Amino acid sequence: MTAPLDANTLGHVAARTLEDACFIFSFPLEQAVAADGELVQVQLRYGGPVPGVLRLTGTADFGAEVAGNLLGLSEDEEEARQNATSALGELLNIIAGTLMAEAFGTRVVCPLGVPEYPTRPLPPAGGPVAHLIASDRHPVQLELVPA
Amino acid sequence: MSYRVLIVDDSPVMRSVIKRALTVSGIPVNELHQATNGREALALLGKTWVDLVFMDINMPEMTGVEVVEQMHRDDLLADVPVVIVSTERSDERIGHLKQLGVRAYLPKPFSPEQFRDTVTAVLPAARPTP
Repeated sequence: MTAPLDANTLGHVAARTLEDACFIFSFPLEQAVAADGELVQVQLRYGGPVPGVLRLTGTADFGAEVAGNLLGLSEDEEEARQNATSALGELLNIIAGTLMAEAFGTRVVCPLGVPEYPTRPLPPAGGPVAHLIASDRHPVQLELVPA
Repeated sequence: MSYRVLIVDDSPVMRSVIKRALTVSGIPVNELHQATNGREALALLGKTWVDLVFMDINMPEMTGVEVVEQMHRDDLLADVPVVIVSTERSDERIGHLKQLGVRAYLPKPFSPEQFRDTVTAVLPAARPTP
């Protein structure tokens, strides 16, 4: 049984990955909320039956929390802050792998690219978007951009 | 017995996560090597003997699949135990890697228990003493 590759599945997979990989709890939002602080964006290309790009936008503080939880550090520690961007790339990688398996099963090969970090956050491209609030304070946006 | 371990992953965070998992699991490591892509990994394997390799699949320059294929063709490297650590779930790809001699596949995210069980299945002597 596979799930549709849409905003709802994306939101569920992202929330579950945050919980399983980083012990971060989140809940879905109907629409975007303004984020405080520096924004970081990471994207990852995927192949398979419906190729595209998965894009995550969050704050540097959110990245530091993800890094801290992955590495067993406080998000305020220098090492967590230094790894904030890389941690969001790893998070997106895990979300993408889980999403592809959820949408297409494991009998289909959906090659994943490596995380890319645009120098400036790219505007929404019109694809399905999921909004979350993580740890009650970090807005996170995920978008599926069709190829 | 202590082990010489190679971690191959382009993500510095993931390399740190695996290092931490080794420590938390009580796996004795006396040499820890790291590579950020397949090309670096093969260069390192050409001059350094290791007991275990943790390998990502999707990396720039040379993927983990290409490294495993090259190791499989090399008499000296064919028997080095490789554990794939990846988010990719394709049965076809995992089957192909196992045919090439990959010992285990550890899907991300993994728990410390899954990590320890995977390593001790590949290296039974690495099982920590209670």
